Amino acid sequence: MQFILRIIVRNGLFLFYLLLAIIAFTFTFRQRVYHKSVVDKAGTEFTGFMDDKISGMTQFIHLDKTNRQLQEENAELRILLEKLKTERSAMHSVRDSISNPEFHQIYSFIPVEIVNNSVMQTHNMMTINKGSRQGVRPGMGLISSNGVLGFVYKTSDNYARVMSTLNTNTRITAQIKKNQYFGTLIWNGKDPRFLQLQEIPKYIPIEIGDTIETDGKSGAVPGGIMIGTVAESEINELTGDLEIEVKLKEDFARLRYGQVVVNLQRQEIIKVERNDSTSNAQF
Amino acid sequence: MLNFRLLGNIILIALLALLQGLIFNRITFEQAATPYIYVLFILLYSVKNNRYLFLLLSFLLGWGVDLLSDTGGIHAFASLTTAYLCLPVIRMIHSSRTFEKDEFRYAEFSVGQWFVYTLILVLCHHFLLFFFESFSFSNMKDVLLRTLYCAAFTLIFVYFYLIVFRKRERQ
Repeated sequence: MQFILRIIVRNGLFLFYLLLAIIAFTFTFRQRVYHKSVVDKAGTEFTGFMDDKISGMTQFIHLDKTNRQLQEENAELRILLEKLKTERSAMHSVRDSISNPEFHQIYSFIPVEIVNNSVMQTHNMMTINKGSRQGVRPGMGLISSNGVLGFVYKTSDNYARVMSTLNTNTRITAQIKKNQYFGTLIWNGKDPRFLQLQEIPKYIPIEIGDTIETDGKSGAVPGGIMIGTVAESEINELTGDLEIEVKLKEDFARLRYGQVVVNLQRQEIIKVERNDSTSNAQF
Repeated sequence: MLNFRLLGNIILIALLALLQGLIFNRITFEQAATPYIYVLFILLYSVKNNRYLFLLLSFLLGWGVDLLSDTGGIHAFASLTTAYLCLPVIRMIHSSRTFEKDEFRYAEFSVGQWFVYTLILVLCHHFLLFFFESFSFSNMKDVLLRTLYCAAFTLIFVYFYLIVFRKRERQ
């Protein structure tokens, strides 16, 4: 009995080190599933507040570029508006032809400012300056005119943390614009300018320069937002799928503004899907 | 007296964590390197003081940085391990044959010894940090490259601090 005690006393420092290391590991692995502790919430609020202040100070340096971007986005939106106008007038004349599923899905957008962002880590995060008080909820998508920026994963009252697209845990369903085949976009953690599109079978013809866009199936992000273009594609002999490198349209290193996507029918979608699974379980 | 010093250390930790989380995390070089200046606390902590307290303080420092940059516990683990390795490394590069922990002062280090000491610990800290961040052996090359870039960047800040603020003590 005594020799056990002696071992503990003699290696006390090492055992103390082990204990703290285990705590650190717990923090690391708990982070991905559980974000509701008080410390976490206060931390989000505090860093959000500080980031907001710092961003406010450095903002004017980027004003020139931001202005130009807004101009371009405005022009694009105006073109889209004109298109929709003609489509709508066409719809009024022929009422039966509304078969486009995009017309049934209703989205609203909350404009946000990105007050903190990183592109260098493997699990990149962003902070945005709107939170649960302004209607931002975990699971919502964050987009800009140039693609999907990420997904909200925790909120405090006035700020929210967003899991960036440049995070090895993020999965986005995306499709090839010309033939509507869809796959999963992931990031391999290496180059912040490229994403990898997976699960596209190898018999599907793909050319360099093809457009990759969102497909809107998840309900977190509307369909038809361009993400990037194909930069390289080769067949993975192991899985028989294509491995496609997608060059991003958005430059993540200089993000300033984005929009949080609110799906107004999300509750309904969840309800329908839940009913589906319970009726299956009863069989 | 001890409590006074402890309080000072805790304030220093809070300050360093805030500095790192709010300012130095934003300073990047070519989107590839960030300085992690809070390692300075571990590098310069007096060897004579209680080792248990030292481990606990390093852990808290790392955890503070983790909270501010939302990284779970990787900074906590990296700085904790660096703190644990601190004394063995000093013992290793100390020139005299008999090493007495209670009589050692950092002022005894020559310039070369300072260089080796900081290099080993900073490399060790950064490697652990990036390794546990990616948590896989498959992109080892990137982890090592990032370790080198960031370590170089951190060391610039460390030497800047040492040369400017520790000069008086060395003379």
